[in-house]
Amino acid sequence: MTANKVTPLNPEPDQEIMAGKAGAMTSRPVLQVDGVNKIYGNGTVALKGADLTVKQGEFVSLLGPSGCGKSTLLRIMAGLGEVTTGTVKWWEQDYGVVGSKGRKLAFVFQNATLMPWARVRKNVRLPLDLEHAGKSPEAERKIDDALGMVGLQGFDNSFPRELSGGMQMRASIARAMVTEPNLLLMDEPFGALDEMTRNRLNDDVLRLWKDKGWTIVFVTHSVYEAVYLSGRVVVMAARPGRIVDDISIEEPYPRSPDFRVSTEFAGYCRQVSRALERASAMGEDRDEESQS
Amino acid sequence: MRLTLPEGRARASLLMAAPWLFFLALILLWELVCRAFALPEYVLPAPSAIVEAFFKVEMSRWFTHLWATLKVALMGFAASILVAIPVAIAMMRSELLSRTLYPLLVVIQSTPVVAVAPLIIVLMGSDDPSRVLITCLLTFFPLVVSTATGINETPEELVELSRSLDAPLRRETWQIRIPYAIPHIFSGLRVAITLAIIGAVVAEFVAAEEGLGYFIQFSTSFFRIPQAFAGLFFLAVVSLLLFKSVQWSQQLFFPWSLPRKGSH
Repeated sequence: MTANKVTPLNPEPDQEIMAGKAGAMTSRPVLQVDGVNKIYGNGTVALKGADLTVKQGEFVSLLGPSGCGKSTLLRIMAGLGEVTTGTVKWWEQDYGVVGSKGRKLAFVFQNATLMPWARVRKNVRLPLDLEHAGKSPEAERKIDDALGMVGLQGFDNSFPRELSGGMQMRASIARAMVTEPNLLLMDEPFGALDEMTRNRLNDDVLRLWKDKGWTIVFVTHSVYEAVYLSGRVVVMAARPGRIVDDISIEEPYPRSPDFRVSTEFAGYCRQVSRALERASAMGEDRDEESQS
Repeated sequence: MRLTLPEGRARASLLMAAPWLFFLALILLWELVCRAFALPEYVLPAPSAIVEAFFKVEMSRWFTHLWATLKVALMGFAASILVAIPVAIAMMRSELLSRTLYPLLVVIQSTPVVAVAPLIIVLMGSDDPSRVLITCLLTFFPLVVSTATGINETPEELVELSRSLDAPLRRETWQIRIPYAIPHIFSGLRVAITLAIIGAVVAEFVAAEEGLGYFIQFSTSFFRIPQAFAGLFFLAVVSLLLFKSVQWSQQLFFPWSLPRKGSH
């Protein structure tokens, strides 16, 4: 990934993507991370040789111990962080410019990060204001749609402080939806919420993923959340951050809360937990090697 | 020993009345001390003598002096807002500019304005522009620092959201950074408005023919000490009203930026 503008090979990739809508997975890669290394100025290797391909319509979770570079990788996928070596491609194209319009991606952060002075509607409108979409009927429709999809109709005139933590996170998801993205990157969005709210929002995200035809990359610390949501769980190890396992969750969609109590779910959780333990052990081995 | 306050309405009334009661008690004590020790007026006039001196001066004269001070203070205050906020934004955008300008700003702030004021008068003359500049020099720094602090406290996530959308820096600044800086900007404005009055008075001490600072200096030089105290109190009241008007503007236009009650 470079900081220079590169002319897209295909000037309108979105139309093809939109044609393959409705959460249906196609073989076309949305995101290709090839041999990405990220080394910070102080010599810390945050990512080493990360290879990951995410196809259109996939729901992929990144799971790993703290400090394994999940969020770094996600930021690189969003075009928010430069790589030291390696390449990142969106829709098989080397856009190379942060926020290039053709990429149509949105980011949901760990915290809702709503603007305290603005009502919910204004918060949801923010990406359109930043893109200078103005107050056109089209923009208003997009905001209404986004608020409706996350179940916040009737709350558009509320201030963030008047909403519960779960509702604030819904508003944050609506803010991500308003630009009608094809690729949604979510960085531990429900980590700070209670179990019940988290489960409910997991179901909401699955419904939206299916309805809107998104491709989602989801960072989480929770094995259960990763298994419940994903078609693939990518496990990462720390020091240096690297991808060590890629586990397919073959359970068909739509997934209901019954899946959470099934033996299949328990089996997948066991498999992912073991992979996570191996990944954690790799990081600890490195620590011991460096100490000796 | 910890002083416990009553609950509910009584608590609110007590909190509201406390500063006034304390002020009245001080005035009363002052009056009593002056009378008990028969202090001469040129040493410390009693509050009653100050009130008498205040009403001896014609109102039109008070307003002439008030307007002269207020005009310079408000022009200096406005000029510092117009300069400080764009400078803070420019410093936020460019590390090079920030590193270049910051030491200069610290030097300006560290140099006593009382020492610089006569030089400015010599350079620019004794008219309003030189007095406005003196006021501006005093008010500029706290405003730049508070605005820059506020701008830099914008949550990183929102800045990244803006960058992921390829939003121009101008839009990022106005849509996200400036609103986040509003509470800090108002902290700076509250400090700056009181400094503006100090700046205007310092400028009048150096060279002026009207204004409350000039009036106090003139009264003192003729040993009209109660009159000088009356001018001083008038100045304090004006300064307090200006300070409160900044608070009221924040309450009126940016109520969300105020700390929520019970949050401290």
